Amino acid sequence: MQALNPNAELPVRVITPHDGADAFRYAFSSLTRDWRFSRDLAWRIFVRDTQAGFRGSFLGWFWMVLPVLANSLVWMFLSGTEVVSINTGSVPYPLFVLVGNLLWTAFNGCFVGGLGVLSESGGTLSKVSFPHEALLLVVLWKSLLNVGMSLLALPPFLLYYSVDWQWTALLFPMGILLTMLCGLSLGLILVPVAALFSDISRAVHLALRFLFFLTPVIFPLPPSGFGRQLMLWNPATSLIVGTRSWFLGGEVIDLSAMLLVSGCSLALLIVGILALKVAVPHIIERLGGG
Amino acid sequence: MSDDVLIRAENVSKRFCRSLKRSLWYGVQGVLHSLNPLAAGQQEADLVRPVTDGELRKDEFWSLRDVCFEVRRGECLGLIGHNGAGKSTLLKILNGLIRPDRGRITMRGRIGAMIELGAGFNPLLTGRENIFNQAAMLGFTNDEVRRKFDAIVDFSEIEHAIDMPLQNYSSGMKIRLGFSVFAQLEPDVLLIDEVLAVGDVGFRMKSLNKMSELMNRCAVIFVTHTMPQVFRVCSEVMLLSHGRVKYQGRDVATGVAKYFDEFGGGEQTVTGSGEAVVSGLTATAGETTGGLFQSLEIPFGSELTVELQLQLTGLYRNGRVQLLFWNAELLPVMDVMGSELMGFPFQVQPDGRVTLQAVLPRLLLNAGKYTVSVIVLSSDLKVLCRHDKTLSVTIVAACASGASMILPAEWSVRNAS
Repeated sequence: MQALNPNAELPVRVITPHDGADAFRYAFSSLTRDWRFSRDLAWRIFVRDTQAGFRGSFLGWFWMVLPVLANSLVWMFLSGTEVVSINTGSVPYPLFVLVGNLLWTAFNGCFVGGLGVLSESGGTLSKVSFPHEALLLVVLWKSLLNVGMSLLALPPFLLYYSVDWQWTALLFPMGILLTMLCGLSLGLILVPVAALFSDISRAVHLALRFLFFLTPVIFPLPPSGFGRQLMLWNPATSLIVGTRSWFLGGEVIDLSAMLLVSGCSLALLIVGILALKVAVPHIIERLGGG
Repeated sequence: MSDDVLIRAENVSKRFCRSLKRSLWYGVQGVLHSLNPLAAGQQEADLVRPVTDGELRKDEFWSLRDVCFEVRRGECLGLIGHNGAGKSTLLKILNGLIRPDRGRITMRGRIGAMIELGAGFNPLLTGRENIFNQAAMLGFTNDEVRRKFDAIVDFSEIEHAIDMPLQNYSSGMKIRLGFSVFAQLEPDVLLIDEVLAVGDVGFRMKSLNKMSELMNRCAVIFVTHTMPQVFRVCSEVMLLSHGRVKYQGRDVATGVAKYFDEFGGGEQTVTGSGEAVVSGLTATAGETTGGLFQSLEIPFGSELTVELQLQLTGLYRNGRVQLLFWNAELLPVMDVMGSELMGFPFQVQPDGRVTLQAVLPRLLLNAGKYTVSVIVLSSDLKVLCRHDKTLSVTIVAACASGASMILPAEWSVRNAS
């Protein structure tokens, strides 16, 4: 066999059954090599899916606002008619629950989206070679759109109720992003094992439904007791409580907890992306259709 | 043809698991092992070592075993083999979708794969929008797509429908659109899975020409079941059988012949009203003889004499008989008739039997394996008997051609002086 021309200007790709540190190195180098392509592709896929979604419906945008609004209206009703009594101090309950639901939707959407990042590619996974981190970016864009649309529900309530505005309200968008990041990283890190057996994603979906009630979304963080301790272990708690109080005031924020969760989420995200790239060939091989 | 090797595969092997649950479990093990940063990678020497059956876990088999090849720019390697031989698996590995279990593949340049037309298509969007989506999926940047957009639409010949949603397209139109995007690829390495010529007759010509143009600039690996295409575009061929390389080389004709050899005799079929029966057959060419249901190997251009014994039951006392030669692709290539270009007329003896002889002077059929059917018709053209595979004839010719027939004609130079 002839030796390959050492002066070749063409990019060389070597495919081997590499594992471990080799695999991570390869994943990292292809991440950095393909980032521009991933970014463009992600935008294309996002635009495609969104256009297709809107094309088949009259009130497309409306259905994005509705879930958060409807859920909040139910709790406003329950609280207003004193079926449940929730004390949110200086913050009007409707605003409290609306912002809470918004943040939870951001967290939940990203968690579920991250977990299902490989199942949304419509069969192209095992047929076309493309950088899979693009799919993650698509999840992020879709979540941003969803959250953005849900924000439209806020202005009427903000006008009706008076809020003690503080400068921290400017941090609200960043708070939303951090919440999304947290959800995304948690969903992503499960993908390498969740993609093969459906048990894990089913368990996660179920768990998230319960987690909703173990997070201070529709009620404030309890000042003491076992409930408080339990909720503090929930990573979404500090981010949701913190972001909401940046915007509306009222609750006490533990800034160090927020920083810790954000930092961990970022680290988990980076590891998760690399792990995804390493795991995908195995997943494609075993699942066939993608 | 330049000397640069663009694709090199060294002892590539891949395991597959038969049972789904176990396969998923092995998948989890594989993922966890890959993710372990402390896992030792394979040593250089081990990487390209041939595999053994001892390395198989429960329910596993080698879907690819020790595959080696090299392809240079301008060359085309035809990958042929029975269904499930491992061709698509090899293509997936080359495309970077799955990892081999052993071996090393080195590829230089931009890689383009024509594996699924319409990957990334969304039926609710228009043709125009889908072109952008498909192109993005294939690796074109936004600028590249904008530049090539007109060329793509032009090539597909569906300008009139380009702004309609894709779900309104016929499947032929979708294929044209998909192909037109692929045709704009400018890779160095091209991987093709069956998609060489698609659409109606006109488009097929166009797509075949475009592909030939493209293939001259790349190193190509072409998976196909259509042997005439192999003859037309491949410079060398590799036959895979149950994961192993059974033949590899530039003698495309031999590779293709070995491919056909894998497919066994199959059953006899007898159709027709049953009022005629082939009771005996002997075929002779020079020294070689073969009887009913046997096979015969003769050189190109031989004279073949076929002696046939027929038995007519029922009320018919006469009929017409002809022989039909089928090639390995199951196409009827030669109809052996009587002098009036109809079946040879015969009459039976009182006991219903008749013995006939047909002399086929100078068989001009190309090298390959042929089966012979005997067809007996009544004078009012009712099929009394059609008996397939009565004889198998293998013609040996030292000629590299994909044509059905070879005619040595009388050539002479006729310059105007």
